[in-house]
Amino acid sequence: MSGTRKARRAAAVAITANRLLDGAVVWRTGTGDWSETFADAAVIAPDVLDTTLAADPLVVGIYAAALTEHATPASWKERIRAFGPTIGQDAAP
Amino acid sequence: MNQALRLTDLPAHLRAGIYRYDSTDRDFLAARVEEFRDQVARRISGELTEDQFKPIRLMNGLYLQLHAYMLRIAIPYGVLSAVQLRQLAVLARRFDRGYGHFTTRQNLQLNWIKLEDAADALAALAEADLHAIQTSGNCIRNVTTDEYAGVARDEIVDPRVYAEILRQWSTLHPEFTYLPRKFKIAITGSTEDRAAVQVHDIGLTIRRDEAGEIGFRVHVGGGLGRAPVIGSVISEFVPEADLIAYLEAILRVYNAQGGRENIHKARIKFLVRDLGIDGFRALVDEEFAAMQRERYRLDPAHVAAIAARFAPPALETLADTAITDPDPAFAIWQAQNTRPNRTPGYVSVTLSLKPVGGIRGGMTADQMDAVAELADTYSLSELRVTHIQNLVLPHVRAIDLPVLWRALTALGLATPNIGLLSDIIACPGLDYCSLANARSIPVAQALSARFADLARQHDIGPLTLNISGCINACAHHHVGHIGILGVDRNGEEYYQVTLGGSATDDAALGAIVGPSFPADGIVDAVETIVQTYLTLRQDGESFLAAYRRLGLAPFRETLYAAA
Ligand code: SF4
Repeated sequence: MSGTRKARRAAAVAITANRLLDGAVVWRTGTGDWSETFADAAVIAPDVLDTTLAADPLVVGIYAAALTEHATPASWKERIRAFGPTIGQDAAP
Repeated sequence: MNQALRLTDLPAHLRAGIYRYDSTDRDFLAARVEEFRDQVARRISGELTEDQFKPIRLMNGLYLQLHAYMLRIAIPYGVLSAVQLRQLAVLARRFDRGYGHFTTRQNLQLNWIKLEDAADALAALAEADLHAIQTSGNCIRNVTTDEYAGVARDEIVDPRVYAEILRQWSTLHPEFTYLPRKFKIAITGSTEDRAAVQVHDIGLTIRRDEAGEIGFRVHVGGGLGRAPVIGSVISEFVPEADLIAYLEAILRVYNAQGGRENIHKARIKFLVRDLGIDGFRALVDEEFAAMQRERYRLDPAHVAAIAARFAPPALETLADTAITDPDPAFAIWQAQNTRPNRTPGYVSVTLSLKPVGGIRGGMTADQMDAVAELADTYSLSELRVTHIQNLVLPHVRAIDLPVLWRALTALGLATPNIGLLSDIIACPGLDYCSLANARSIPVAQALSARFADLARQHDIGPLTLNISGCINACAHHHVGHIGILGVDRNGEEYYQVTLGGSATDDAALGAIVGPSFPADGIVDAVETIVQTYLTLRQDGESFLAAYRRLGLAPFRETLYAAA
């Protein structure tokens, strides 16, 4: 999981996955639930990663996404995962 | 909601040129949907792990993308009936967000599918004789062909007949379900290659020998992606009767000898490269000679039966006449977006899914319904999906063009830009695709806005511009006259530019112009390339011809002059 490898060098990380039932991007919250809202994501120090990546039957492809020092997604890919397509959520032509 | 009709429910004149499923096909599809429904239920209950389920869902065309599941629906060789298009609108509304995207493999992708709905979506597709089988996985994918098949003036033989034969042969072929890698076949039957046969794993060109017998020139080992290569001719003429046997021989050699260890070296092009075309041909010839050829012989009666299903529709006897309209915009559209059919008085009309600022290949469910209506009224209920991400109405009476043009204009589908700069091919890119490095759609939107002036586009002339969001090259950027490839530099989007590609008879791979451009510089870079061409072109010289004369140097100089 190269995303997680990269995340270990990041300022902070958030645990993310896609929800099994609909594929929606979800973020792990401080209480261990999954939220569709990036703002709900628990911001974690990279060095505690190993204990937080246990599999969960509700989601697919759990990994740690790198965040900036301002706790925002560090890459374009994670920004788009967090906030939806840049052509609008309803990207009708 | 529209009630889906079965194709066979329609009167014959409303199902021209559409291959009609029989009850065996339908029973198979229904059983397949129910099997998948059960597999989805077992995944949701936890009985199947994601590792176990993933290959199953991919075999049914269901991908997990960035924000949702994506369903890739096969449109066999790009031929679509009005009934089927209406049913795609039903799916887009019921299971997605009311729109879909046509792709370079002449497929439709729905981007917001829920796993819980996937089996229902497949069942709804099957109602219109559609499916998503073999749109993913290491199998033979949807065979693609010329969008003007059956109507083109330069056609030698209708490629749909053989595309259908190949569909039947390759669908669930027991030996070729787990190839080393995916396998793409394209076929053309005209003098002009509109199916990009030289950049497919196998590319077939239908020809006639001196006696008038049908055969196929076979290209093998072409492909784009990480190591793009133009295919090599393995045979100049495979007789019709031996087509299946010969393709079996190629596939068997590939299946046995193709690399399986490294996914990036598993396409047939690597095997052909490693053995050399002569070495590869020798193995195929050996396999071919050892086969029980009679078993694979293409029976002329079978070919004739399939050809009958694509029999030309009943057309009126008309003459080719000049069609005019008081609105000068009509003539511009007619010149750019229509082409005469071989039947006098009939034309093929290309619907541009490339409006200024629009999403390339995107279509709303409302547009699909409206276009289905137009297909019923003006094109014998038939449509084609092009690998350039547009639609074609293939059987339009020229005298209907003015009224059809007005209807298409009202729908936003009459931008007169077919073959021009803004007819950009763009993959979903980082807005949807989990493999992407960078966004494609917004770059295409920005370019189409920058070059919105149609008079300027017409002055620039024929120009293909293809944008892929990663090296998988779904938008065929290597063969665009201008190719743009999204690359990732430390989480930021950059774009590498290639020049001089071509996907047609003079197929060529573009050459990298130099260091890549940041997202906020790529539109200016294209502007500079176009300006350089306009400054240096000779009388009547197209972009590609000018590039071939001039090479990269002048473009490099202007692009990097300030650096
Ligand atoms: S080229 Fe890459 S980014 Fe574009 S659709 Fe294909 S895999 Fe996705």
